[in-house]
Amino acid sequence: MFYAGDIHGSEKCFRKFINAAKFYQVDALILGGDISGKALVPLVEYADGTVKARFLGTDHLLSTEEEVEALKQAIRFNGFYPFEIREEKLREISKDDTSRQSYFDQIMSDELRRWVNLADERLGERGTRCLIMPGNDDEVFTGGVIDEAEHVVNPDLRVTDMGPFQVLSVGYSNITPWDSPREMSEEQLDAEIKRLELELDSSRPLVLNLHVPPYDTGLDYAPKLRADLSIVGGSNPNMVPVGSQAVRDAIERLQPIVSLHGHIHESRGSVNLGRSVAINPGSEYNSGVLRGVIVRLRQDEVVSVQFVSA
Amino acid sequence: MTSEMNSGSGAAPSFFARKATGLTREVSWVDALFYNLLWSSIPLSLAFLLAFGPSDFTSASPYWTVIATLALAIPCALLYAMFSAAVPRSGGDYTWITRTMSPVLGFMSNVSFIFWVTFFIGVYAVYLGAYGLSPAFRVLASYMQSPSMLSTSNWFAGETGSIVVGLVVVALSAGVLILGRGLRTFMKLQKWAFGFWFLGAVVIPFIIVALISKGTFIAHFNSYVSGLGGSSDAYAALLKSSPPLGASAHSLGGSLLMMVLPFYTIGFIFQSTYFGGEIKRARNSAMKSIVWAEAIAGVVLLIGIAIFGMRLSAFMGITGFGDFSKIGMPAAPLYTEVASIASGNIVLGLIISIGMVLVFITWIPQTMLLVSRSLFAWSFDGLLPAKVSDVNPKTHSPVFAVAIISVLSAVSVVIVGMHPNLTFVVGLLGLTVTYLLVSVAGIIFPFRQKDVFEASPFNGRIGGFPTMSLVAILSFIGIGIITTTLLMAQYSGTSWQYNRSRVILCISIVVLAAPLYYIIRAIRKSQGVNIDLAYQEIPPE
Repeated sequence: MFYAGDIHGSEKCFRKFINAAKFYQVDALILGGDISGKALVPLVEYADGTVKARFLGTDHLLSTEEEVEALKQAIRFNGFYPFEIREEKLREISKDDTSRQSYFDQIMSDELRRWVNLADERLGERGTRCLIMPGNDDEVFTGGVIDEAEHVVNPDLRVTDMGPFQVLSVGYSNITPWDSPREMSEEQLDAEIKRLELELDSSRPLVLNLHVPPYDTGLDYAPKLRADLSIVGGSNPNMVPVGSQAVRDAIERLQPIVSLHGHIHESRGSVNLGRSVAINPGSEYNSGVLRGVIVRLRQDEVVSVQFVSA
Repeated sequence: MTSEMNSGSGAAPSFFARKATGLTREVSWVDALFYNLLWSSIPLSLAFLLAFGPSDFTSASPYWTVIATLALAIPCALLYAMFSAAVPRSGGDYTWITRTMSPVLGFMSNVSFIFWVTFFIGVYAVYLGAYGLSPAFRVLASYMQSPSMLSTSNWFAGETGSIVVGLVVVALSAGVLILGRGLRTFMKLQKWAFGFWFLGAVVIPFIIVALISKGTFIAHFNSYVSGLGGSSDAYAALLKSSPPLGASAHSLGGSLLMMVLPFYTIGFIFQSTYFGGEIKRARNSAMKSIVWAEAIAGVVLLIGIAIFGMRLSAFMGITGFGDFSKIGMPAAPLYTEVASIASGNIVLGLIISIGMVLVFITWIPQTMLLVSRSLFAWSFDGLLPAKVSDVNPKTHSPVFAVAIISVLSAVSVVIVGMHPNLTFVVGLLGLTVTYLLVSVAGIIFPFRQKDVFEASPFNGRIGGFPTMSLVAILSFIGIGIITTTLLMAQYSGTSWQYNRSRVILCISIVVLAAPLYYIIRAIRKSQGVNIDLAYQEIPPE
């Protein structure tokens, strides 16, 4: 199987993810959370017909359809959502948090629906099992959009099948400084995992698909932050473990053959916890690079783990 | 929940950010500048220019040499910054070349880079003894009139002393890197080291020499040598035994050949790009920090040459070829020891000496860190076992990688310590091979990695041709000229005429990496891992 996560709205990474099935000749794909982009970039239509946008520090004045499309592609490539909007409408939604949120939710839903349809179309024909799970950075409605799919499965807070394996999935993270949309306390995470444990078949090999990595394992080191979200130490950050103790406890208790994680982009790696291999492939979505891992499984053992940056 | 962000220049709003992880503030470009200045060893280049320039490159103008080196090396520095912004990942040349040209070429380039920077760890261990600790104890010996201090000084400059000191520094560096909970402890130490370094090896020596009169210097020098048990009229005796070289006409060719000396600093002032991008994607920081670092290095070198050249021209010339043993000094002084002598003050002399010692001591762990990033990249691509990139959960450090680097560094220390004639810039030629390959990768990058290039902040075009490719062409030309001078200059250490075996060694390292790559590839294939997949981009269409 091929596992990746944290593509954060990168169209290029998502298309690579879908194509990974054929490229790596794998039987299953898992996208382990944080699918949505982090920002929306307006392309503002003015009364005189011109379109203006500011992206990556550069002001763009666009006069042709081709220029608009080219900029939209560059914006999507970087994991942002482009949207065309009239100047008056932009002014209107800028004043009202609720209508702005609703407007943006619609844009994100439409973009995600387009992705899921693409995955359905390509992977359905091929018969590749595909799990796409929302992570902590995805809005709560995201899971519902994935649930609309015909072939793609949203495994979040469920135990699902993947051939001979059973996959226990939780896309929520522990509490972060960003107050992201889908977070739980350690106690809640622990309770959710324990609730799902009751559905496991002890005779079948288990794969854990938990967005947040296990605490203090080298897969969860991130820069320590101040209250204003700036990094303590600037370019010499104080790297601290920010993973979940509940997740670590679950791996040590359940001993899956493999435990898949994301969330912390900087902490790419794998680590053994008892008989289990825990993996975080990291993320490099805003360079258009899909970081992932090919895990070859045979019955109840891991044959090989190979990191790739595609 | 969304919130409006930056409105830019008053036109359209830049973007609306959602509440999501990772939206931290940009890292200051000053941090990267700081790293680059420290790693590039400006005092060492200045010392070489002042000592060996007048004696070994008699027709060179040091000013034009520095300016020419800046002009020829800056495109390569800019290219590294552009690559770092477009592909902000660990591994530097390895990552860029494997993904742009071919895996085997990237491996060959990086093996050469790793080999030679590891080799330089041995070189710096010898320098630490000969140019750092030995002069420091000589200063103490003179001012305290202590024969035991002088013996200690001589021991540090010898084979045993340099090897022991080198091994101790490698061991201490490994200890700090392993036990320091990641990079935190080391980076804190480095900040303090930089302050002392800049004050001791740059600011104080420049001020002292700028203000001293010739008469006072002669008196202080005579007193200094006398304190070491030498002649009481040492200055006159030195001039008699080693008369200053006559002035010769400067030529462009002569000035270009001397580029091997400032290239030591100017060509190696952008290594923050090897891991600067991994913590934060400060896309413009690399460019700013590199341009400023090159500018500061150039200014410091030019001011240093001017001050020492104007105030102590004849004496500095003699330091490159004079026989100081005849007047009772075991070795010719570098500019920092000259400044210590000029100060006539043990405290100032010690501060200057410590500044120079720190140049060498900080470089060794910095380089070990640099090498670890390449080992990580190799490990992630499957060329080395996954164990190499393991981070110890207790110490938060890559213990296995640091252990490998420590062993390689120790071997380098012993080899260079036993063969100190290898120190003089021998490895520069090997490193230029990497730069040339990166330049070729930079030329084709905008075409082979079109999407990545277009999404990078340096995606401009001049006359329809990518600016990055133009910079890469200039980089290839500039580094090509510098490589030619390394092969032509008699005292470069890698002269084709005088040191052919060393040149062949440099080429062999690169060439032998190719079969090594294919052997590793075959072994991994037998283990069920196809490493070719690590380098291939999945078609996004």
